[in-house]
Amino acid sequence: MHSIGGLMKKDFLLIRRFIWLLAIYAVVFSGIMQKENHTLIYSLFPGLLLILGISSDSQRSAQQFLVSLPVPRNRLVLSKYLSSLILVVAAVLIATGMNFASDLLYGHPVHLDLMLIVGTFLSMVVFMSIYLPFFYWLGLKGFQVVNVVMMIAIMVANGVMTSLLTASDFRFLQDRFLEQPGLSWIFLILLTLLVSVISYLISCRAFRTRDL
Amino acid sequence: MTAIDVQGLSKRMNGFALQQVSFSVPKGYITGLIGPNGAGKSTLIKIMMGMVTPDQGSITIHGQSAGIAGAAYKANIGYVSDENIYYDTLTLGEMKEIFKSFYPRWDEGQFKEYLDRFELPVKKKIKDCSKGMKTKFALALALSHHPDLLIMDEPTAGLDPIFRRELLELLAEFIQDEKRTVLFSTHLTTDLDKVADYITFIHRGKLAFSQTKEEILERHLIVKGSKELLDSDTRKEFVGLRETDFGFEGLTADGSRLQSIFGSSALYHQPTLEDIMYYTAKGGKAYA
Repeated sequence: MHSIGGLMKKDFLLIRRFIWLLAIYAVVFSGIMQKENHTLIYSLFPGLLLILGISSDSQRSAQQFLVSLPVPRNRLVLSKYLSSLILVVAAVLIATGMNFASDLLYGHPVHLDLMLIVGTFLSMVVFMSIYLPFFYWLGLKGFQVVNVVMMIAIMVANGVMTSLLTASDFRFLQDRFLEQPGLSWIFLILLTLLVSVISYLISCRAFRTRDL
Repeated sequence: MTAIDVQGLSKRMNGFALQQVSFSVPKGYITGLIGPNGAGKSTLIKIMMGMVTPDQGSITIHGQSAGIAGAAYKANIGYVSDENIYYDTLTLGEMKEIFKSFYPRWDEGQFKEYLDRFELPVKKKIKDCSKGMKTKFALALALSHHPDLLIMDEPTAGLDPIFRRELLELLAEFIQDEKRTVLFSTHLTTDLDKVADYITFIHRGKLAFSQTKEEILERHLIVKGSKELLDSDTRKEFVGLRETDFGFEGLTADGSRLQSIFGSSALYHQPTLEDIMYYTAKGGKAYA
């Protein structure tokens, strides 16, 4: 576990150089600048932070360094998942904080949309679960293409989700969800957990015999 | 006692193949891994460090199975890569903080000594360091956790002569207690002339030889003579042969035998490691 701590510390040290970029994005995508669409930050900001955090080890030299350490490859993968999870939590908290700040700034009533926050967290975990196996499977060039595709997917998904939330068909699902909110959330959380575990196993398999 | 035992190692990748390579690295000595560019030296080292999976064969380091299956054996290895593998955007100090957390025997005092000795500024970013500084940093990290085995991939390439000499002196100090081992790959044979005890020569993915430096130099002989001495039988005695209009010069792996064949008709002298590598790489083909 000591080695996982060291690896996670490395991930957070590497993301530090993007602090100003992230601060700018946090302001631009939040309700401070996006008065009509304060939910934009919930999809774009965590996605950006996740991509930056994972990409820090995309270079072959970085992966050679990691593999030269006395740490098994599956533990290298596990540390990446844990770091990414913490980044998602941090991003969702920052997004919530920025929207609080925008509510205070414009004199709006401060409100906490729990469904949006938890929904964002779970969807980002699913996004991470799709993204990480590509990271471990592809070489640098392939991974750079995936980065671009993933950013576009996040932007498109934000628009799609906004439309779905107002669509009448989706309202039916929402009502069913709200009839049994506890069970529904448990189901979603377990499903997200299952997707994450499958993703981890795929990543371990992809990375286990990859030549660096 | 062996530090590293390589058995039947084969690997095919990118139009290159390591073929059934087997050799041992004795404990307590410096072994040089030599060969021309593209011979397979780096691939061998990467297999030892678990970066590449062999198609066949096995490697044992200090009795533990090495490669992708395990990782604990690397705690006793100091590794210096041929390229910078550390994060460019971090400072030397930040990189050290990350690195040391993985090695229980990390010695902060020793690291500071190496920083002073190599004149490395701890707050400088790795990307702003010269190639020499990066190599020195890699060496400082590798040595500061008191490894039993030092594996280095072309550590002197691109270094100035002053630091190259200093590095070779460091290696000689490192093995003084006869319990620690060094394996370093290079195509600069002059480095091995100075410090190596054993030489393992890899050529086109195959093992040419693996012996003590003295045995290699004693066994091989450069022979010079007139073209009349060459026929289909005597040509077979040479590892590599260079013919001109006036005569020939060649390398044999059995000097005493060729001396008994040619007697005083030819001239003989002891080859250097560079000569052995040169003629072995050129092969038995006659060339000008």
